[in-house]
Amino acid sequence: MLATLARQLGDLDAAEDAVQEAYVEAMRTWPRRGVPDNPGAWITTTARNRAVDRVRRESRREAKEKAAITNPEPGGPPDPPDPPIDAADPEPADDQLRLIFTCCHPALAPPAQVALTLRLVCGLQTVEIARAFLQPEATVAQRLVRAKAKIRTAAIPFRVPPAHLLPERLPPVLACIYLVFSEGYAATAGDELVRRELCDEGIRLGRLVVELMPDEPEARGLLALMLLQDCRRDARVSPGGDLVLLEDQDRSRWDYDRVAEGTAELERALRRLRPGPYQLQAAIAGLHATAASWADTDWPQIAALYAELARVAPSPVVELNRAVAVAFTEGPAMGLEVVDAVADDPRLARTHLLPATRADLLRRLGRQNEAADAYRAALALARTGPERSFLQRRLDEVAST
Amino acid sequence: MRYLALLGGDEAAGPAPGTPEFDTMMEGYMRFGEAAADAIVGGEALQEAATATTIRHGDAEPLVTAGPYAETVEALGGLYVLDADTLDDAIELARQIPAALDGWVSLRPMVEWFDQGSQASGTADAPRYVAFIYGKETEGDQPDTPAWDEGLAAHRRFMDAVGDAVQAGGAVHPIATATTVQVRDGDVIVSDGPFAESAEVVGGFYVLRASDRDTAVAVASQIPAEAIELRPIMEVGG
Repeated sequence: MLATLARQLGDLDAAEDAVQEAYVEAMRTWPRRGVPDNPGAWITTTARNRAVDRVRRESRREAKEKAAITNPEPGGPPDPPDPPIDAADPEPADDQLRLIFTCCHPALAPPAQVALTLRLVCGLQTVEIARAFLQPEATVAQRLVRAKAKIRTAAIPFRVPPAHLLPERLPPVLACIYLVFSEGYAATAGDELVRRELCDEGIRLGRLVVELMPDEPEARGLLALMLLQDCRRDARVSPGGDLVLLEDQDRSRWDYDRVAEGTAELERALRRLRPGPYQLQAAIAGLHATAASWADTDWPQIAALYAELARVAPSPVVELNRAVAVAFTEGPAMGLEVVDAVADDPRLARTHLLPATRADLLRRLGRQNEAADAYRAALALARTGPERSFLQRRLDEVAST
Repeated sequence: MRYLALLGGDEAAGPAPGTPEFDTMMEGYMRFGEAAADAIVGGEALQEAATATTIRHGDAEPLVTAGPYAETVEALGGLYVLDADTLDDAIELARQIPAALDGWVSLRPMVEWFDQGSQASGTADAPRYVAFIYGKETEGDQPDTPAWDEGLAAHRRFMDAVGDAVQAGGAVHPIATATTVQVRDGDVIVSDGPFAESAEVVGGFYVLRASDRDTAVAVASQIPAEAIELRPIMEVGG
């Protein structure tokens, strides 16, 4: 409802205020009069009426101010006619798409894009966004205020960009959606409900973009990627909260509806013959999701896809993933060569990924002392609890042999 | 609405006046001037940063030093005032400015802009300068606040005091509303904020006419701001 109101009013703050007022009104009246049959519709209608009231108040004030200058007689001009009230209720999806493109405008910094999208498109509270990103609430609030001020002051348009701008405007939208999803998926710390919500919101936004831009294969590739990762969600954490590696996961706990849907979306995307990073990553996730076991995984194909991904979107993290696939195709020694080739990349200096990958390959090579050193190096850099306890377990294993 | 487009780049890497490369660059600006004629409300090319004079106001007399406000590799080279409905329209214009190809264009929404142009008679042939307002951003840089209104009144008094010396001027919204536009290998790179390695203009700028540098410094010293960078204009075209 926020997106539609924002479009009608041309003002995000006013729309947000109106929705807020509608909720306050609901809290005031529902306990006395009972919850209406359709609470969602009630809120939307109330918010819209509030917004219209506000517009009328504002324009009346403006008219009065104008009258005070041009027309010394009291009374002034008659009130402007009421703006039409749209009776249709559900928020049109294209308004939400406009709102996403506004929130993810490249003139806004990526952290602001994500916070704005979660606040305005997904309707998360500031405190929930802060919790999800492990940031102080005041920081997130400040970021939102500044971003909204910039949208208004710099006149960032509320629209889906024209076709010729899409190649440069769609990537930040997709990156933002994937960040929403990954933030819920990757870390296991924090509020589980909020994280679940982030994954679901990421997938919902992915579906929305695909529905409205069906000819964009990377948008569909992103949806496929999220579905093919999300299918493993429940199996990747043990009942005790420990991280369970893909290798050790109980594949019967995977969500095969997600797998089927993700695979179908990926096939539709690939049919357009315009591959890109999201489609490649989805293809890799798809090979994992459809393998009967870790040993049965099509490692040569995965290694080839990572090589292609490294070509279109070079990154040392992709190389580390490729190293694992190479290790299972050509042996751990070959994998180690791939790792060592990116060992000096400064972009890897602050993450545990490099020593953790090295450690695993050394362990598989039976070089236990070197593996133990690498696990220690990884432990010094790992941040989340589940990652640390996993590395500690592995260190204990190799140190005791 | 109006956007101030600040043009910058690495002076040392750019072509020197008098070289064929410089002429090619200037032709690029001419082409932009023709293509965007309807949207260009104002524009000035600046002489190199080494010709700048900086005036700092403290508790005592204004401190006048040779050189730009901040010694950065990425120096300001010029400005346009653009008329555009939305930021996307302004970005569309900015991407065509030659500075976007090897340097950067920083877009700042303007609070106001005026150009007295030919009305500023009497000193029409005098050299012209741009006086940029620098310093720490304060509450007074936020429009629609009492501090802003106070600042505005001080600027009006300055303009009344110096009269014809002011040809044009503009005030911009706070730095947080800036957007940087660059074009690399044909791709437009849009990012939040001013260009990171430059000192960003804070409040706005004036275009001044003065018979010589000392007179210009005397006028610019009266601008109510923490610091002023005075840059001689490179008169091109007309």
